[in-house]
Amino acid sequence: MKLIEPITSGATKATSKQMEFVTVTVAGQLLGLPISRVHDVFVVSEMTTVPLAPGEIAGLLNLRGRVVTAVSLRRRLGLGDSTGGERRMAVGLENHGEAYGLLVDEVGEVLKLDSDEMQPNPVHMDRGWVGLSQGVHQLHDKLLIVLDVDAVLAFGAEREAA
Amino acid sequence: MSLDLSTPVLVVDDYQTMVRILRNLLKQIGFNDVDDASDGQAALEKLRAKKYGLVISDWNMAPMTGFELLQQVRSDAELGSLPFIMVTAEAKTENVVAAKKAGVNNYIVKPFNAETLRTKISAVFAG
Repeated sequence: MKLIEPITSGATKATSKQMEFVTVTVAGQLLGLPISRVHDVFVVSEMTTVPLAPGEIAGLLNLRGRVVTAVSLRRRLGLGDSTGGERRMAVGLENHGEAYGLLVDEVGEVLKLDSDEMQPNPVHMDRGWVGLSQGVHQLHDKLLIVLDVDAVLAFGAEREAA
Repeated sequence: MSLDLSTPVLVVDDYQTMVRILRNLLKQIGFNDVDDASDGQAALEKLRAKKYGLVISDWNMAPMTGFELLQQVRSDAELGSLPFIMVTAEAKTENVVAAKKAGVNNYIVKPFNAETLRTKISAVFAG
């Protein structure tokens, strides 16, 4: 994976490679998406459901002729849908030329973290989550799970392999 | 006017996460001189302090919106011809028409991707 060089003018550590992550929250868990994979953050307004689609697919967004597949990160992580009626936030991603909107509870700030401080997944992590995580960063008061975007968007392939 | 990747770009958005994403997308395209401002007033101050070749601004900001920033830029003797791209979450026809009348060079409706951004920027410098 291409490492992101610091792009701000602020002082950075010269000896350590850093990566930026767009943070999102799902069911209270903090997760990070490599910023190099993120194109946009947007509010989902209208969505068309897709009959017989994998459960992770929340629907299709038709945005001025461009079809974006809305993927529920909650369902992808084996969690139930949010009961809140608040606005739905999505992170714009692309994979193999297809556009996706990853539905999350909240979008947070961008964190710049040292690559060499990323740790392996904890041994007690849910098996379903291990395959979607590249590792974790221990922050001051919480754990940031770094999502593997390719794995998160590979739910179709998983079914074919099953 | 041709696209020069050494052109200084100013990103204007009050949502810091989006600023960081846009900066990264511009870096992926090849721009290496990118600054940002968190509102229209701060943007005007930066535009008067440094010579930029492109502004990419969100529409919905407070207290000065991106549209008001565009109007200020177009009415400024020094900045009047500065290439200006507006980013907005809404594709309301009246907004697009108003922005075009105010002199916007291009218009990006969210959600967008890196290719859309690249295409819109290229179109500005090709036209």
